[in-house]
This record gives sequence, C-alpha cells and structure tokens, in this order.
Amino acid sequence: MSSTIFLQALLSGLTNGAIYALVAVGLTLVFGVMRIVNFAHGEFLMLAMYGGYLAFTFLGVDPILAVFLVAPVLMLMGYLLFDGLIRPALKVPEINQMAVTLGLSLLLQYLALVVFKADNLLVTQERSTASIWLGPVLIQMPQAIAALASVILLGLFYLTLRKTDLGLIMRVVSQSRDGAALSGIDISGTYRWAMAIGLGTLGIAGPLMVSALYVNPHVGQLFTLKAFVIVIVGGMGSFGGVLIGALLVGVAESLAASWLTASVAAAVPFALLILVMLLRPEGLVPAGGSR
Amino acid sequence: MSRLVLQGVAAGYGKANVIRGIDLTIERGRRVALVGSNGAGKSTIVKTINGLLPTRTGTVDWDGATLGAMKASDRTRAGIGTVPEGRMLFPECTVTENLVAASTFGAARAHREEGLARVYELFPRLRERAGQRAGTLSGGEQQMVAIGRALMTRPRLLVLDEPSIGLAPKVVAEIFEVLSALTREGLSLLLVEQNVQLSLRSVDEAYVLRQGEIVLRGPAAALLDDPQVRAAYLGQ
Repeated sequence: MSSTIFLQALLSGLTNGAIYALVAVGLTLVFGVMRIVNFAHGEFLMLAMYGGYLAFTFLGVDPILAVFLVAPVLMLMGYLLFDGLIRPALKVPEINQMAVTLGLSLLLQYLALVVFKADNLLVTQERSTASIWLGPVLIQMPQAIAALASVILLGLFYLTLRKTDLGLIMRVVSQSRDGAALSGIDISGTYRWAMAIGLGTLGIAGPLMVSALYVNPHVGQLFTLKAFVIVIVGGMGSFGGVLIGALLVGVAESLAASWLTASVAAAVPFALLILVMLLRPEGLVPAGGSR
Repeated sequence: MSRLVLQGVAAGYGKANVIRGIDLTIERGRRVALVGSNGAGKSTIVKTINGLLPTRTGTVDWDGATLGAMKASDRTRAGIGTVPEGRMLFPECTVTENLVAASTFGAARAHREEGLARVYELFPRLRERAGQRAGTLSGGEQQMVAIGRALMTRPRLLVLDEPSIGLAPKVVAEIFEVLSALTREGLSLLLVEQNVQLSLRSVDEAYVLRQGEIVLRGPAAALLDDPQVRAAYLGQ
C-alpha cells in the first residue's frame, strides 16, 4: 500500500473515530453515573438524525443550525426518559433493566418504521460533495464538519467534567452514591442530568451525521454496538478510554477497508472487542486510571 | 432547634428488624456516644438518622419536625452531617475535590472557600495532600477527609460511625482533639464506637446498645464507673 493511501485511510479513520467518540461519550456518561446499560442509545441517535433531516427538508434549516433545535429536544427526551422509564427501572435487578432498555430500543425502531418508512434518507446540500485537501489527502466536507464539531464538543464535555460543580457532582456520584448523598448531592437530580446530557450529545451528533450518512429506522443499532465496543475497549466509564477506544475503532475499520474489503472492516470492531476482552479485560484505560 | 429525637424507632434489612424501640435524644451542643459490640445495630441507627435507611416504625425528629421519608441528601442539607462507616470517599478525586463536592448547595456553596480554609486549618496534613487522590491516602488521612467533607456541609449535628476503627492511637488522639475543638464551638455530636473506653471519655452522655435495643443510658462518667459496663465492655 502506498503511503498516500495509508494516510488517506488514517485520516478518514480518525474522522470517523471522532464522530464515534461523540456517540459513545453519552453512553459512557450514563453508564458511569447510573450503572445503567442503555441499549436504546443508538435509537436516540437515529431520532436525532431524523430530526436533522426533517429540519432541513421542511424548515430549510442547515444541519449545523439544526443542532440547536435537535439537541434541546434530545435533552428533554433524556429528562423525560429518566422519570418515565429509568427511575422505576432502577429498582429492579440489572437483568430486568437491560430488558427495559432493549425493549425501548426495539420499540423506537418499529415506531420509526411506522412514521418514516424504511427509506434511506440523507441531507444533500451544495457542500455535501465538497471536500478539502490536507496535503496529499482528501476529506469530505460533511465528515470534516462533524469531526470538527465532535472535537470541540468533547473538549467542552471534558472541561465540564473537570471544572464545573455539575461535572464534579457526576464524577463523585459515579464513585460513591451514598457518599455523594451524604455530601448533600441529590442523586435523582444527578441521574436526570446525566441522562439529559448523555442524550443531548446525540442531539448534536445526529444532525451533523445525517449529512454524511443515510438514516433509516435501524441505523441506531450499529452505533449502539460500536459505542459498546468503544466503551468496553476503552474501559467502562472512563472518558479518556472513550477517546482512545473510538479513534482505535475508527482507524482499524478504515485501514481494514483499504487493505482488505468493506465487509472485513465491518467485522473489525468486534474482533477488536474480543481481543481486548481476552488480553486486557479491564479495558485499555480502566475507569480508575484516567478520570 | 438543632435537637434530634428518635422515638420508638425500628429498622432493618430484609424481614428482620435489626433495631427495635430506640429512643434517643441529642440536645443542641451535646456530645452523645452510642456504644455496643459489633452487630448490636449501631450503624443501623446511624442510617435511620442520616436517611440511608427508612424507619419501619417510630419517628426521627430534627429541628422540631418529623423527617419521615426525607432523602439523605436533604437531611445533610438540613444540618445533619455524617462521617459514615467505611468513609465512602471519592477515591479517584483529589482531597480538595472530595471536600468541594460536599459544598454544592445553598449556604455550603456560599461559604466554600471559608469551609476549605477551616478544614485545612483543623487538619494541616490534608493541606499538604490537597492535590492527591483520596484513594492513595493513609487510613488516618482518609478519615480526616471524611470528617472534613462532613464539615463542608455546615452541619449542626455531626454523626460519626466508628471514626477510630483501624487507626493508630496517635492518629485517633489527633482526630478526637479536633472533634472536641468542634464541640466547644457548639456542634452537637453523636459518636458511634466499638471502643467504649475512648468514646465514654470524649462525651457527656452515652447509650449502650445490645442486640438492637438500648439497655442503658446515662452520663458518660457514671457509665464508666458502672460495674455492668465495666464487666461487659471494658473487660474489667
């Protein structure tokens, strides 16, 4: 393989990885804070993608601006989801919690099928076909925008976690729930915010992604799976781990696609998952290490 | 105000009640000890006070109002601070973060800097460790963080569950010195201890708990001289 092809694959892998990280970070936040495994995470991404598509098609809103419409809606969904479904589910055993979020995942997929039909939809604008040369390699404009937004948002997310009271509250709740309650921290309120922010990040990712990727009612499944791979490979509940896991998955996929075939590339994240589980079951960056 | 009253409290886990018919009063500024052997139900009483465990019968009153189903976080905000058994620190966070996390509401937030300065004045060793992760500290230092964290919530009653357990005598002495300094400023204290001698010497009044029931109560000095207590808890 020539070095240009390698660089091209590396760049598109990093671009995808940045977007994956934005999708996975909400999942890891919800898991880290609440210890809830949300199998419906990808379905909320799917809804956010439809949101971006509808805003563009019916209101003529640019996907970049649609973020400001869709993200608050997703945050509200997270808020309502907590009180409507997750809060009661916290009282039942973990296996039942999984059944609840898995059921929600399927429910949302089939509701989306009823409302939107099975068509593949994409936002196409003038800039959709534009691209930018970075030295010898090329990056598509929609991917570039989504990746750049991801990097900015992950930075903001990190600063929120490290520098604000809300961030500190979420970190301490994830370490000791009772210790946090005895520190005067409202646990349910924290859970609600974690859920709202966790889904809110999807409200940002969705509209940007629907310019680069077709949306259909089942598009979320793949992202839930990839987000799980990323979160587990990175080390459950660790922010640094999500970044490393996401870039690793993105680059591995992309290199496999250019060396081998697209179908091999699709299997790569899961091969990676099995490999990490066998060799380093605590993940690459265990939650204790880099918080 | 600042008066804690337990009346006929029963609580437990599963089907069985661990504690039954508990009556206990802590007047403002008083230092009270709750002593008894392992498994007598001391920590269960603590949890019914701080809200980590619901009462099954009976009432817990604070400031003249029944707490009922009030959440643990709201009880902390209302002035009942706890230094829990096992400390329940945030091991991945720094010492300062552990302290700051207990001042994210109301008055505690408004007085955060003042509270931090106060804790570091009481425990100068923590100031040296301010940027260190709590999980890497020694047991004595962790206990100091747990006390400091409770103080950050601006309590009027401080409930300490086994603060001396597993610590070197020198560290225990240091911690108890700080506690007595705090009570001189009007803080009420509920000290739960397996170390009967130590706790009876540090308080005004004590309750003796056996198999989930209070079997004796009285001034600490009198209990120290009580032949029954000496035989059962002081090995004399």
